[in-house]
Amino acid sequence: MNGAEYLIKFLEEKEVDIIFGYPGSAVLSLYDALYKAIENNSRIKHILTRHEQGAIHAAEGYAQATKKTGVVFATSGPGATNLVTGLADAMLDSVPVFAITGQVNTPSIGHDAFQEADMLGVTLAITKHNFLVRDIKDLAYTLESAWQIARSGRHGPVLTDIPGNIFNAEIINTGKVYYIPKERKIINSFEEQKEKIINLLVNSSRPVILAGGGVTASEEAPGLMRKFMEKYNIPCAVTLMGKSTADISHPLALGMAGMHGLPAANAALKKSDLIIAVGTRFSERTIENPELFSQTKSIVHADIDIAEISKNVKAEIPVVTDSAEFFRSMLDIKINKIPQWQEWASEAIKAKEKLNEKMIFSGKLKIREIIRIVTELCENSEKNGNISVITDVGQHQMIAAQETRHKNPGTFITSGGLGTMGFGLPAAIGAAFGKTNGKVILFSGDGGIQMNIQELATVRKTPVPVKIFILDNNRLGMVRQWQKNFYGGRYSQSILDDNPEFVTIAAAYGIKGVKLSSRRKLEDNIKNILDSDETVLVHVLTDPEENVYPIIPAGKSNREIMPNGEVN
Amino acid sequence: MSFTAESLNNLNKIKHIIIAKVDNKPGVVSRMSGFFTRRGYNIESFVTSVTNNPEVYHLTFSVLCSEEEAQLLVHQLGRIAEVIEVCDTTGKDVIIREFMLIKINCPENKSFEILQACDMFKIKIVGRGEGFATIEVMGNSQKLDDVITTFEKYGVIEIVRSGAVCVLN
Repeated sequence: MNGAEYLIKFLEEKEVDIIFGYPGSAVLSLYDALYKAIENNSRIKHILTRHEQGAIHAAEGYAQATKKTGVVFATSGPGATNLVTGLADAMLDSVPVFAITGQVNTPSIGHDAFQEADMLGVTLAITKHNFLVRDIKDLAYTLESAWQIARSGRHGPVLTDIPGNIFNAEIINTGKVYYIPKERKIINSFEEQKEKIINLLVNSSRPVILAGGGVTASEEAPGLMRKFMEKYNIPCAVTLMGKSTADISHPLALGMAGMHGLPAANAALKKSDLIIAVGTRFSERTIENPELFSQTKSIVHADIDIAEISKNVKAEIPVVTDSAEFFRSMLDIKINKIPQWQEWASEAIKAKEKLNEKMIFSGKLKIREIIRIVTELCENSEKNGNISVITDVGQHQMIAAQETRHKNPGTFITSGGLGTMGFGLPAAIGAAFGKTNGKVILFSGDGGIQMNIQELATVRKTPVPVKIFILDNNRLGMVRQWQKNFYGGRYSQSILDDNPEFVTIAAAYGIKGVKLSSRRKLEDNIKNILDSDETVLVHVLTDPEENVYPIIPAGKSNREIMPNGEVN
Repeated sequence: MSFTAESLNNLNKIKHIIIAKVDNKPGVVSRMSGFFTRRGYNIESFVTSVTNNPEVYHLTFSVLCSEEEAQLLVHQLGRIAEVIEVCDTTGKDVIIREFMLIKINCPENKSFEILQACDMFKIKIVGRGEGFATIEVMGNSQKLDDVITTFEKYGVIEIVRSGAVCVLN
């Protein structure tokens, strides 16, 4: 058995079903081993994307939709460097990705060989860990380590760079290897902090939970969190990455907080005297001004990664634990006299009522209008159960984050930390490959879709349909909005008035395309699109002047909300 | 005396000496050193050395930062898979040593004065040339700083410092 065959066997043993990738000269042996495995009815399926960036975003989408590890293959040099954006994206959003790149043969390393790039150096800062296998005897242990590191503690991308001659070398010992992570002293564990938390909680009159991506990533945490909220009547705000953990339709959920957050969530965080933050790194997009944030309130910060605690916001009580474990323990605590949080909870969620008001849209179609219709149709139709919503980056992303509803945690997938335009389409493909029923809805913009539009070739093969909504305002909408608000309306390089006919492009790829430009029968049209069992590309012409509100300008405190353009 | 925002910011920054044991794997040093640049820490010295165990490297680095930053730094270093243990030695019982070669102007008429100063510090002249002398100094960082201050008046030509190494007592 050679190194390449060992790698395939290793992935089979790890119950990997899908690999996203793209072949090339340094990984010929690997793809040969894959070919033989597939011929022998291996469980593994390989999805050939049309660009390595597409492959890694698809692996991310797959990982987030299934809570498994996303696996991606790429060749050396340009193949490997094309993974860079995806690795950085997975790093910031803590997505478990197992990336294998080919490398030039070991004797050629450092000699500027054909298609050589120092991937260890390039990806040092944007992977959780990376490896270069220089000797076949290290292969088994390295693969096991890489797999474990990607999934242990806080998840993240791990890249293993394997030279071509290592793939070809014979494995000597194929016995089982074990990776033993280094034991670190756990400080500030939940047990040590329990008393203090109970004390703070009992004396608090306005507690709020802030749930982040760490809750989404956990299988059990969202359910436990809901129980905890309900048991004590504590309202809950979410971050962009934690969005689907406490759906806005839950009576105690306040929705997303932050720069484009909902007023109810931001107001509750501002008024609260105790924030129980779980699985969040207090990104500046969530809390805007970290210095102002912690001055007047107590913060309990629970995170699995000790290095996140007190990084941006000083935590009064740091807890290093898994989010599920945290809520499980919080449910166990006995509070003899439960404070009267009902009143606070109803005050906090009152601001939410506005959300359900019918909005009248006029003039050109609006992004918000389309996302609302899709959301309502999905909510009202049993047929549309088990839906994952994926977004690209920009105005539509923020509007989707404000509007969409999610019965199941983990069904909202977006590029949160890195804000990668071009993430949407491949991630939707990845999510679709992780499903056996239901469907995937992708909201993308005219800018974002064109960054990975080649993946329309891959989207045809998904096991469940993907509904691709291109919300085309002929603008890089978010850039335009900022130029309008903060740069005197000088629209520098943000106007895309020569967009292609997306429906024609869809047709060229053999995908059904629909163009929507008026309100006539809009709901019926969208309903037909959602109800159909095929992948559809929907080209929606929207208003170039639409802005996302509310917005808190960057670097300002939570006080300066600007609903409808007014400065408060 | 006036304070700029930056100087106020630097007020609570002190030198933290942080030691770490790491796996002796290829790339581990660049992984560790690259970390400081990436996170924007103000690093003064970074010393890598072998230990009695060939599989383990010992690293010592001095960083100018606040208490909170030092704590965060230790936690962030702890995330790196090759790090076996890492600790901030500030406030702990430690032995710190640093080595320095200092080349100064040494005209004939000042030789005796300079020799006397060397005696006082228990350091010695290891090189002598036309109008200059090279002195070797070993001690804690404070001693090295004091030597520099003392010899500054003769004119310093060159200073090479090894960076601090440190063990817990």
